Amino acid sequence: MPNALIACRSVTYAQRAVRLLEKAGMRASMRRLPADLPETGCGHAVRVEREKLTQAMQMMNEAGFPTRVYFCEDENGGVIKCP
Amino acid sequence: MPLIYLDNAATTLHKPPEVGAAMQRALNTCGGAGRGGHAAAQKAAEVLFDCREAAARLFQMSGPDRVILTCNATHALNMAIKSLAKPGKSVLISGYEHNAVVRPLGSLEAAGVKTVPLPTPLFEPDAVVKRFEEALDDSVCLAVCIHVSNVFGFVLPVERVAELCRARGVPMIVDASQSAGLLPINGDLYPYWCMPGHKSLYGPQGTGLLLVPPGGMLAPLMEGGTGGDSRNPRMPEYLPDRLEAGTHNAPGAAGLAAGIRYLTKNGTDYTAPLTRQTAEELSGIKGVEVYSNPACQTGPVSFRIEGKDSETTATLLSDRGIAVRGGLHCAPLAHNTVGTEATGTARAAFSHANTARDIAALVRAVREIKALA
Repeated sequence: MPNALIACRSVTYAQRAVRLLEKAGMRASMRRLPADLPETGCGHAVRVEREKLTQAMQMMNEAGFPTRVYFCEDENGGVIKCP
Repeated sequence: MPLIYLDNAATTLHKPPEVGAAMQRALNTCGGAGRGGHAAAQKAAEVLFDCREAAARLFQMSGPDRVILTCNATHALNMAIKSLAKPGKSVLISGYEHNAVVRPLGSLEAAGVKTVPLPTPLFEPDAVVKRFEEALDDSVCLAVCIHVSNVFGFVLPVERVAELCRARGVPMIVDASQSAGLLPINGDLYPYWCMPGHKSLYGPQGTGLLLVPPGGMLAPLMEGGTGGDSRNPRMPEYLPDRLEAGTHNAPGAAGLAAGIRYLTKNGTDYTAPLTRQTAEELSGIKGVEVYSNPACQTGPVSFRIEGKDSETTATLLSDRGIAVRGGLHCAPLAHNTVGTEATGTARAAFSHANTARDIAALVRAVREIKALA
């Protein structure tokens, strides 16, 4: 199942988001983003199934974790713009 | 001779066994939190997050982001004081503040920060509120108040002082070094709360917490790597990253989380009966002066034996296998307030590991030492 990545501003935010989504029964984990993706460098992201992206972002926004940027994982684990 | 340890106001010695076990696990499994995406880095991040969550639960906070991990209470106090004190303005402090407050403020004197210690008589909480109320004027940029005196166990009415500060828009810092783990604390209230991990939270030395109130923010005391936002030459604007530069003490955080969970499970009010018993029984010895008022005291009990310097009393007790602390307890201001600055006091303070038998042993030993005088 292809994954989507929701960028978070810190590791603590990513952790909170993972807990939030897991509590709601969603599979979620953390991963680092490639160095060139967040403008500021060294970003953290929440990894969810691609089909759950909209739902996950909505839940995160409602819980007060603003999410604007997201990416997708390709088959080799690379990070790409979502098609 | 087994040691009867009654110096818990300095550091609790007997930690719940799960504290050491959690530290050992963290030592063997944690990498650098937030410094990578691999399992060991993620494990470290989990350990820190777990500690923040445990603290947020104990201190009734709505979220863990405002739980800042520090090296100790002094680190937390320095961070808050040096960010909130403003040149050309005054800082109000109670008459019971520790050097962890007095010295950072002293270092700011050259920058034009004026420290105003308030005359706050012992075991008179209403007078404390009145003094702060009278002194809170436009010249004041900050109020600092200890929650429980580390010398006398006096519980100061910090919630009432916080209300006054909030109404006047003056930031407030509470030194919760002696109260964290003993008294209820609401980290979502107005003040910044600073506390050590190694006293009544049963964490290891080298740990502490700063609870930032909702909407609160501080300038960093140190700048450095945070594991994120790395192209930004300044510290991030968000918590907790803004106030946590450098690699974290993950084993310490693991131990602190275990200590906090122990308290959450077993309750925090175990020392009050020991404090009362000690004060009552020592008061019954002629020639022993005890500082006590059960209505507004918790944790430490200070006493003096007539004709004995407090360090001598502590040494004689140590010779009998009882650990208490003598002297000024790094709080000369508190001793000046009460009038014990010449001799200091001997201080006994308790943990979950102490029992009524320990108090009985202390009382027996004090009688014996008094008889030597």
